[in-house]
Amino acid sequence: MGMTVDETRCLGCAACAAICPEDALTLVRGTPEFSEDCTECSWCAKVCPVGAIKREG
Amino acid sequence: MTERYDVVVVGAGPCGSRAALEAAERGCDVLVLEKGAEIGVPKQCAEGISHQGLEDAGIEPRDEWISQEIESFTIFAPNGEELHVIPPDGGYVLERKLFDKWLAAEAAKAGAEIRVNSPVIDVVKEEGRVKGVVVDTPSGPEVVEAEVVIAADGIESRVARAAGLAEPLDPDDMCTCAQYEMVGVDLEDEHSLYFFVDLEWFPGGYFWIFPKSGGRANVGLGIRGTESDPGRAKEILDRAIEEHPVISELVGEAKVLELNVGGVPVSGPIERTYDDGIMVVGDAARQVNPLTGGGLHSGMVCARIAGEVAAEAVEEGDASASVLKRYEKEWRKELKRYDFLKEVCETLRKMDNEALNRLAEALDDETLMAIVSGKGRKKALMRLAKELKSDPSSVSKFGSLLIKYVMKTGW
Ligand SMILES: Cc1cc2nc3c(=O)[nH]c(=O)nc-3n(C[C@H](O)[C@H](O)[C@H](O)COP(=O)(O)OP(=O)(O)OC[C@H]3O[C@@H](n4cnc5c(N)ncnc54)[C@H](O)[C@@H]3O)c2cc1C
Ligand code: SF4
Ligand code: SF4
Repeated sequence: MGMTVDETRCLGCAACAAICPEDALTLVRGTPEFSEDCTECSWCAKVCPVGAIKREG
Repeated sequence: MTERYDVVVVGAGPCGSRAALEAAERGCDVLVLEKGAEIGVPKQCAEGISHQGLEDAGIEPRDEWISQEIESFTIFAPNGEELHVIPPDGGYVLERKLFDKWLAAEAAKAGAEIRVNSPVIDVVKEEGRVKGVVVDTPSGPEVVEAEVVIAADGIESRVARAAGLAEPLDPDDMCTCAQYEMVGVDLEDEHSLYFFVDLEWFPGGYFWIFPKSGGRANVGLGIRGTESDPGRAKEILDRAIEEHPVISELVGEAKVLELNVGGVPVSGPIERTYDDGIMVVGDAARQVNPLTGGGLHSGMVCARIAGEVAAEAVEEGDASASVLKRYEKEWRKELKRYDFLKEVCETLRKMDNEALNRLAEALDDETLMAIVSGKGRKKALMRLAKELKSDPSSVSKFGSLLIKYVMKTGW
């Protein structure tokens, strides 16, 4: 369960962080990290231009 | 000992550097904190800006960061109909990597200090007033105090959020973009910006080819966040280059030099861009042209104003909201012209491809040229509005919008 990032695909553009409705996603050293506020709504994954975020489980 | 500056700018993008330059030139002690290791990298931009844009930002054009001179727009409707417009004012495609670095260097020459590899992770607040920022350093979080914090941290706008000035963007208010810089691009006119509007191919956005020097070009697209799926922007980019009837002709044989991605906020600016001890500028404040998604012109103009107001606040020894409010008052005046563009954008969004095709036909080169250049504009607008109004589709909304605009502005 939970959201995961493919760090080799992610280009650090922050589009995902900009829309996260829970403010649960911050870029740490260029890649997304998810806080416990994440509801797994998957919006971040949806807007990612390169498809670097996935919902596991 | 805690460090202390008059002005701390977060982010060394064009808006952060422009604000830092202004404040430093006016005698402030300025520190710029940039999270990246290199200013100008990665590029998240198609690099277009008008002559007027640079002038309004108070920047003299320089050969070292201009890649291409632009004299016209070439716009393709969904049915392939081509409109060619020569606006009264031309523009440039920049080399943003060089431009961003040059602008930061200008700020440094004016006295600003710059630190890279220095992400800001929070603001420091005392009695509700912003007093500084927290920087993540190799030896742990460190506080830097400031009279005024200028948040220029781009679309993520973490600083504005920490200060309670920005909410997350609605996915429908963001365009998610993918772009290649390519070489071997064969354009008929390498001094023209190419736009492709097609709601089936590029829902809620458009595709662009912006030529650069040496046969290079920025080739990319944006679509609305609500129309996106994981990786969709890049998938459409690849497919358009392979299969789109016009685009594949122009860039099908070109080779990729770079992949650039990013989000563009098209919501219009945040409700309030200042508070005690803080101002928010550029993409962080969503000061972006709602029709084109361009943020260089508007953002740098606002940043210049923020730098000015910061210097006034430091000089007056009062950086409370009542002084920083001047910033918001000034920039709102500057960006007033975007209200109409927002309406145009919303009306365009309600159209389908068929309506867009009809619009392109009614908007022949001559009419479009008259509207853009101002010569015979009123007559052309009236003629167009009449033609569109007689059409019982959503195109008529565009007609009434134009009539309203003609009435309101007395063009
Ligand atoms: C694909 C694409 C094409 C575009 N094409 C055009 C175009 O042709 N013309 C145009 O005018 N506009 C264009 N834009 C928009 C334009 O790129 C932006 O409006 C512009 O870069 C905004 O400048 P800025 O300084 O506000 O933010 P940015 O350029 O995003 O700079 C923000 C800086 O802050 C840094 N930062 C972020 N968070 C922190 C932190 N916590 N601590 C420290 N530093 C931080 C970042 O690393 C970055 O360097 C385009 C955008 C995209 C995505
Ligand atoms: S949107 Fe995708 S590429 Fe951009 S920072 Fe988020 S995960 Fe990385
Ligand atoms: S899944 Fe939803 S809540 Fe979780 S980080 Fe992504 S956008 Fe935010």
